[in-house]
Amino acid sequence: MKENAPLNASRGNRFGIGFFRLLMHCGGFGVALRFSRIVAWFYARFDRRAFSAAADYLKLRFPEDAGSEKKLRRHFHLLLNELAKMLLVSYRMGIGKALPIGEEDRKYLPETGGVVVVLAHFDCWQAAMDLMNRSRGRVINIMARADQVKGMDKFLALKSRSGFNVISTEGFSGGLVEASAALERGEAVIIMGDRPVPGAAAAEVPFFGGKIAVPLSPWMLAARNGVPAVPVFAELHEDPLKIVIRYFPPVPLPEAPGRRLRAEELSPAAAQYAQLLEEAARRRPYRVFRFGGDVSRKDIEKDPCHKTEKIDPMEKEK
Amino acid sequence: MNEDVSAFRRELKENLVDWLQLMDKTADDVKDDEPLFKEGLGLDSLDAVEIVILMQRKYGIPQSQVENRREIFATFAALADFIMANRTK
Repeated sequence: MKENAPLNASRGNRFGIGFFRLLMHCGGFGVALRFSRIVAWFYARFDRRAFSAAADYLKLRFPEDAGSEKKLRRHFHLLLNELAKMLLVSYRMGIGKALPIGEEDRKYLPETGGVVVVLAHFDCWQAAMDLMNRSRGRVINIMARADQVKGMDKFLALKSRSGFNVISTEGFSGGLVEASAALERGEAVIIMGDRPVPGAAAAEVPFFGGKIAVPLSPWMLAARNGVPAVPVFAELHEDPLKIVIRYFPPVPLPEAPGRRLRAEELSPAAAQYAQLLEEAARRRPYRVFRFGGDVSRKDIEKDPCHKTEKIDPMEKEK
Repeated sequence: MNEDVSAFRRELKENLVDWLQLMDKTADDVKDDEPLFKEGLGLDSLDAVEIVILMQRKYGIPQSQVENRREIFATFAALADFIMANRTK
C-alpha cells in the first residue's frame, strides 16, 4: 500500500474489484455482501493507516470509547462493513440493477436555474450522484478528484457513469472557476461539503463537541452566483431495500458584497451544514465516511475560521 | 506601453486590491509580470473565482469566456491584457 497516496487510491486493486464483480454477477448481491464482510474484517484488523485516519471521527462520535483502541477498532470494523455495503450498492446501481427510490422534500431543489447540490461522504452518497444525474434534463456537473489509479476501473470511478460533466478538482483553481461558470449558465454543480480538498479554503466548525474542517467553496460559489446551496443525503434503507433521497432547505448564505467574501462570512453556512452532518451521524454512525483531517476536542481554536496552507491554483493542473 | 494601457492597469490593480481585500497591499505592490498566485500576490483558488466575478461585474466579461483559460491568470499583465481586449463596459 502506498502510504502517501489517498486512502481510496491505495486500497483495493484490479484483481479484488474484478473478483467482487464476478461474485456479484454469479452469486448475486447477497453473496458479494457476505464476502465483503471478510474483506472488511481484514482491513479492520490489519490496516493501521486506515484505522488511524478514521479514528478522529470515531473518537468524536463515540467519546466514551475514545480511550480504548479495542473498542475503536470494533467501531472501525462496523464502519468498514457499511462502507463495503455502500460501494456494492453503488456498483449494483451502476450496472443497471435499479433499487426502489423515495424522495423526501424534493421541493427544496429548484427545477431550473443554477444550484449547488452539497453532498457528503455519508451513507449511499454515490447513489445520490446517479439519481441526480437522471434528474429532469438539467446539466449536472460534479466536482471530483480523478481516479488516482490509472486504468483501474474502481467502483468509485466516475468515468463509468455517463451523463455527468466531471470538473476536476485538480484542474486550475481546483475547478472552482469552471464550476462558477456552470452556475452562471444555470447548471447544477455537485460538491462534497464534508471534506476539504487538501490546500483548499476550509472552516473549522463544531461537530460532536469537537471541530472538523469542512470546505468553504460550496457556500462561496453559491453566494457569489446568487444561487441556492441545497444539502442532499441519500440513505439506504433495508427491509425492503430502497434508497431515500433527502433534500434539505437551502442553507442561508451571506449577501455577496462588492468585495471578496471573507471566510468568517461563509463559516456560519459551513457550520450549519456540519450540524446536518452531526444529526446524520447520530442516526447512522457507521455511515459517515470521514477519514482523517479532524481536529480533536483539545485543539479547539478560538478562531472559528481556518484556512489551510495555500497552494498555487496554477500548479494544481496535472 | 501606451497611456491607455498604463492607466487601465493602474485602475485594475486598485480594483483588485479593493475587491480581494488585500489588506497589506497597495496597487503599487502588484507587479505586472509577477504571478498572481502563491509566490506573487499569494492568491488562492477562491480568489480566482473572485477575480472572475470582478471581471463579470465591473467589465462585463461572462464567466464562460474565462473558464478553461488558465493562461489569463498567469500574471497580472496577462489578466489585464485579456480584460482590455474583451471588456464590454
